[in-house]
Amino acid sequence: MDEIKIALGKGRLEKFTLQALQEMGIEFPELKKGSRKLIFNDTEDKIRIVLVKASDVPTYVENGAADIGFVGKDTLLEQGADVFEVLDLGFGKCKFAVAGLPDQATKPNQKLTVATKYPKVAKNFYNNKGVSVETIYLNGSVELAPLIGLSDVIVDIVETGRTLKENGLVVLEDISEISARLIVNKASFKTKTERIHSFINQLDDLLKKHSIQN
Amino acid sequence: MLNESKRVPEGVADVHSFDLEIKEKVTASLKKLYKSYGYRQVQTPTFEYYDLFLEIKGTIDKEKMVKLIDRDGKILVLRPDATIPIARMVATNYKNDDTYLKFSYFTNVFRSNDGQQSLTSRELTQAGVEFFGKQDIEADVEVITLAIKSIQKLGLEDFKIDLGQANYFKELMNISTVSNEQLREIRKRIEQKNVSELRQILDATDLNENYKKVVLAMPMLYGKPENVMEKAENIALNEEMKRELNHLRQVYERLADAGYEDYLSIDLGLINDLNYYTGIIFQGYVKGYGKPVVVGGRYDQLTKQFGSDLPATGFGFYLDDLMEVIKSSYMDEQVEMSSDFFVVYDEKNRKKGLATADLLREYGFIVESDIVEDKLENCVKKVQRRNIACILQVKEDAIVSIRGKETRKAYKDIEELKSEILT
Repeated sequence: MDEIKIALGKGRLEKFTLQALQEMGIEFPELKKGSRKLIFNDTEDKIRIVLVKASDVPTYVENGAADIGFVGKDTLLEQGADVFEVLDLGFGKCKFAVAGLPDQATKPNQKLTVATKYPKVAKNFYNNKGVSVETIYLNGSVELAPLIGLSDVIVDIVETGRTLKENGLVVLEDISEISARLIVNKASFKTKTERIHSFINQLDDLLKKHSIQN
Repeated sequence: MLNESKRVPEGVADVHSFDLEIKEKVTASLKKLYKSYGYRQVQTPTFEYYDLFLEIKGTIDKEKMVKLIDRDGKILVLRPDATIPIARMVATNYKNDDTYLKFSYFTNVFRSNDGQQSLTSRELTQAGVEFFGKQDIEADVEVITLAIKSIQKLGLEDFKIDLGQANYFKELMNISTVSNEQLREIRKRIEQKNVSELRQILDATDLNENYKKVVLAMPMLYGKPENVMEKAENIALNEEMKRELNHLRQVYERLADAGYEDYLSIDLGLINDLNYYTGIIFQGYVKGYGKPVVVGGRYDQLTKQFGSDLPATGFGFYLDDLMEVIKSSYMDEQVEMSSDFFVVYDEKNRKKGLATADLLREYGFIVESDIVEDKLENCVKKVQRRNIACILQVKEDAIVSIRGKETRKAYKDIEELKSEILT
């Protein structure tokens, strides 16, 4: 039996992913105990989990350092990895949106500046609309930018909208829906076929069961 | 950061002797293989006009080409692809040949991949073959056979050649009413095996239900050849799709007949670069390596762009990727860079020393030599890192061989040394 390596992003999706794996009978007691290790082995089932930064998951999978990855569509849209995107896992739902001050006047004939953690997503969105923008890349606290005049609007993930609200911002436009995806390295898909397919099918059955229950 | 005079630009690298040794071995064995099938090696210029590559749709993004400006202001590019220039060469030089043409190439291609990571290389070595002027499946079979044999030659056993048929999807799209924009989105989702998003896109179109069902099945048409082909046969919407499928079936059967069954799988969702490929396409994967090592297929339309009309098929290996795969196995074998002898002598015996070295070289040994006036121990220390099996000290009355630390042996003259070494 081939060993499979799973890349798991820390943060937003971690809890859901571990729960899904647990329901599939894949458990890593050490990981649950809050260990600081980054790599976990299940030698019996020949599964290895690597904990990586969420935005690094596509890189690990695309290069074959991991066979399978759990990753948000947001990361995939921003990074654009050459992988198979085989399942929409349905959890971790949120959306990409443009947000700004509520009384934001549209500025015709003026350049729009957009602060974001997702410059590629922002550029694609405005390019498709035929609007030219200047993007300002920020690593965090993006909401701050329109408040202190760094940018006109922001492009960010909106989950509940609470952060926006507390900072006096509103969603101006929706860009796209986001949810967690299962991605697979193309070579692994072809060379470890049986192992990977049974993993996908098992997870797919689980998702179907959940969607019936809901 | 280091001064630019002391470092190389991003995306290119020095090749060290150990790596180059392996690369040369791989190249030599592939050259021999392709030659044994009658493929003749050709070479095209390192740079050509930008327009050549610009006019061929669906292969290399224009952003990825490395550009230069010629004296007269024309834009040149460093060869971004091996096949297009060879097709140009064939179409313009062998126009009136009514026979087939078989060419092989070993060449560097240049692509600027400006992803976020600088990991990606801008100079890649490609090796491959191109078979022009033969449209039937026997040519497809020969080319795929060669791809398989190439990987086998390198001592790899655990690999898959994934076969596809570009025309199956093309025929399916020919009877649809979707816009080019929609088609691009549909293709992308099929390539990614992204069924959920494919469904969303199809739902937004006014295609009929039965047709949608077939498109939605495309990403899943992969796996064991017999199963896939049966499924594809059942959902085929017209005779054209069945004909193209049958073509693939025949190629598969001939390859299976040659005993390559275990290496083959089929994926009809393999539809990349559709503007370029026009029939049987394939990609090769080695277990444990994340990227395809070989990509190939039929491209019957390409020479038309140069005013000729030659059907063609071929493949290209990414030699640098292949090197990564095989390097680990070579490491195990302890292939080391080494020399067999280091011949030392003093000023007086220089002539005799050089004669000894030449004699050994004639017998095929790797021999280094130098004048050593210093103590022999110091010399031994110095050459240790060069991995020399035996030091020969040529003196006036004898030749002393020193292997390792202890074993010394003295020979009366060259004749005695010769008889000893040859036995």
